[in-house]
Amino acid sequence: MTTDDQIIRNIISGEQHAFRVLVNEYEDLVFTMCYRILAHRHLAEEAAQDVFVKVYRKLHLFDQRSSLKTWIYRIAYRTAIDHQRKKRVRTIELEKAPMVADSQDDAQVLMERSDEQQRIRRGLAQLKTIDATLINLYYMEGQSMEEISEITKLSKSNVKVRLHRARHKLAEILSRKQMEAT
Amino acid sequence: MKNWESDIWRYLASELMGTELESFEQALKDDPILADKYESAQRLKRNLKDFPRLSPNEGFANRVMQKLPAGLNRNLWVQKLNRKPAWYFLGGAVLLVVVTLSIGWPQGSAASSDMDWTQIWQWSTQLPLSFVCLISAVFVLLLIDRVVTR
Repeated sequence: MTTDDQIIRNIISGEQHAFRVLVNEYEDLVFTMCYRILAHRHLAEEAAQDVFVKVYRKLHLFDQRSSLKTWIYRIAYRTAIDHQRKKRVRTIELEKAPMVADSQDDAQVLMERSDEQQRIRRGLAQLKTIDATLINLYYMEGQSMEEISEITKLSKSNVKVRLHRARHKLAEILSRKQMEAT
Repeated sequence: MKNWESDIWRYLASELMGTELESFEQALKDDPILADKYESAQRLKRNLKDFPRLSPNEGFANRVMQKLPAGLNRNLWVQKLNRKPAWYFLGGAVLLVVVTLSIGWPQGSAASSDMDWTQIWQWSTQLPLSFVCLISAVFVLLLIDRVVTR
């Protein structure tokens, strides 16, 4: 039996500690996914909390056809998109984000802002949410095509095509920016 | 790395450089500038891979635990009330409708070939009650489903 199976069984049998274990295990993954879509730390945390409440409420419906991680990703993706619609967050805000960290940002965000990564982050902010999410899931999170298809509910071939286009678009944006800089 | 993925990156790099893929491979060997640009494309890919995950603020798990519906035991009865019993419930309701209708169907001599429309009409008066039963069952089922999946 895998660790995830054990955690699920424990949660369903009413062990309060077990759900905390699950939150600790997946909080970074969920928060990062929400942050990459919402581009705002406070909103991302709010959405991430909602994700875990949904996970808690729906855990008994988890049929184990996919891994728990993929299932949580799917909930996180949909929740973040819902929050984005409700709050009318525009990911383009990242593009306008100041080079210097504001008080809300922590050391990890600063770490992320190495020259190259900051450039990429801004490039990603110019992509459509779905395209940026595909790149995020495939390259940054190492999810397979099947898993991404499961998370986003796009067909596998559609994921491939969109990922290709997203990569192309990102490369275009980055090379344009580089040309502007030189 | 999967082949197609590697191909796409090579293709992407060649496209950015304005060359065909076939000539790109050779040019990569001959042209140090091109090789340098190709390397930067590869670096982009590596950088994407190395993007760090972010962490929520301290005490995130506590805040989540406070937001959970009261009583973790709620999951226990929710689990017991999974979809299977709900389908039994719907099956039972359909059976009830069938039984109600068949009891009302003219029996014995009344069910002979000379059964007139009045008898059928009498029987059909049971239909609304049966449909009310059925619709109620579906409504309760949906309600249960909503509570379970809320």
